[in-house]
Amino acid sequence: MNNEFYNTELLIRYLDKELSAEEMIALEQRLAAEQGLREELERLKLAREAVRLHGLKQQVKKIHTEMRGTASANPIIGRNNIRAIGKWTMRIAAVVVLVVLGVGVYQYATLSNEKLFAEQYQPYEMRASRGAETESPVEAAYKKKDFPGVIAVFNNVSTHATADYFLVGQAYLQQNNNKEAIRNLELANASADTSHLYKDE
Amino acid sequence: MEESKHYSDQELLELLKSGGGIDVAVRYLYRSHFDFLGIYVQQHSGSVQDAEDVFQEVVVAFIDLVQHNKFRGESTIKTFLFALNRNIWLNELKKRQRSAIREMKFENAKPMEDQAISEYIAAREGRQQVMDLVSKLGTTCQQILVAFYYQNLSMNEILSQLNYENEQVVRNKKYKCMKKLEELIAADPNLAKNLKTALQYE
Repeated sequence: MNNEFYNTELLIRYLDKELSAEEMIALEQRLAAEQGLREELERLKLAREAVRLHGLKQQVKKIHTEMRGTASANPIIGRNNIRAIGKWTMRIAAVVVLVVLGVGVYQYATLSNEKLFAEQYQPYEMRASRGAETESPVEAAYKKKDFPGVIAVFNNVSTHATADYFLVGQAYLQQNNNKEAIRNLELANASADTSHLYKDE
Repeated sequence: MEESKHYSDQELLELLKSGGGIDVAVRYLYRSHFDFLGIYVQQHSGSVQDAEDVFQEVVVAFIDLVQHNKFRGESTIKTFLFALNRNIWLNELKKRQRSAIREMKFENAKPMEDQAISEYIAAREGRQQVMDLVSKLGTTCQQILVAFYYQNLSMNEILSQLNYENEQVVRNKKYKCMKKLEELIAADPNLAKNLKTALQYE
């Protein structure tokens, strides 16, 4: 056994409290005098503490593994599931919002005058006037829904009542002649005797 | 039944200080605090694995502090563990240089509740080196040294666990293992300095 190993063994036995009283006194005298020996003792103390800490960590790790193994319904994982459900709820909500936004954008993008007209236009229906004494040829044709006839009769007459302008305007609308329809409806609207009549229509 | 028993802080500290009560105490710590502390880590950018690793470190650090009488009982164990857990996790995040740390500047601004926690965090890196150091030894060396210095087993008890001829052979093996560990420390002066800071030895 060489001297170095003898010293180490002596120091370890000192740490382990295995030295006799005489051996301890002798070693402590040497420690007071020899810096190298003191430094080695310090390192051995560190080594012992490192082992102790390592052992503690191993023990805790073993119990941790054991606890994780037995706890099938782990609380943390349980909460993770709750968080996962929350995440999925948020994802579904986001998809719904995107769909609603998409529908809105599509409707806005595809909106046109023609589409709006096709969806909203309702042909004017002539109401039966109780006690009406006479009706003009234009009115008679309109009642029969003979729209080309309305236009033809209108064009054959030189003077027109407000109702005639209005009805021929409607007839042009039915015939998809928007330009003439607008012109006649504006004449009907501007006519002095219309006051409130036909304005709403 | 141990599984359902409630321990007061004082009872728990006594269990931790007595070597034989550590298993019971650690199981109790898991049952009582793992959930609560794990949630904190997960709510602050941590994974389930992070939560488990940090909790293990919290338990090891807490037992170490208790056994070195560094836990002064100025707060309840629950409060202390929560502070330790939070500080270890924030320190870990900082170490990883993750952007999440920016989100938690307000947390950093909080002062450390306890000097023991502050000291622990300062020495955390050194402690990691301690763990790595012992792992550099062979399995047999680790077994003998842990059995003797941590489990406080006698040479005869260690002999019955390992396949050696007699106690003296085990004793010699133990000296060699300690010498190897001491040499690893001597080889790196900075390591010795870090270890001194990290280990609260007498």
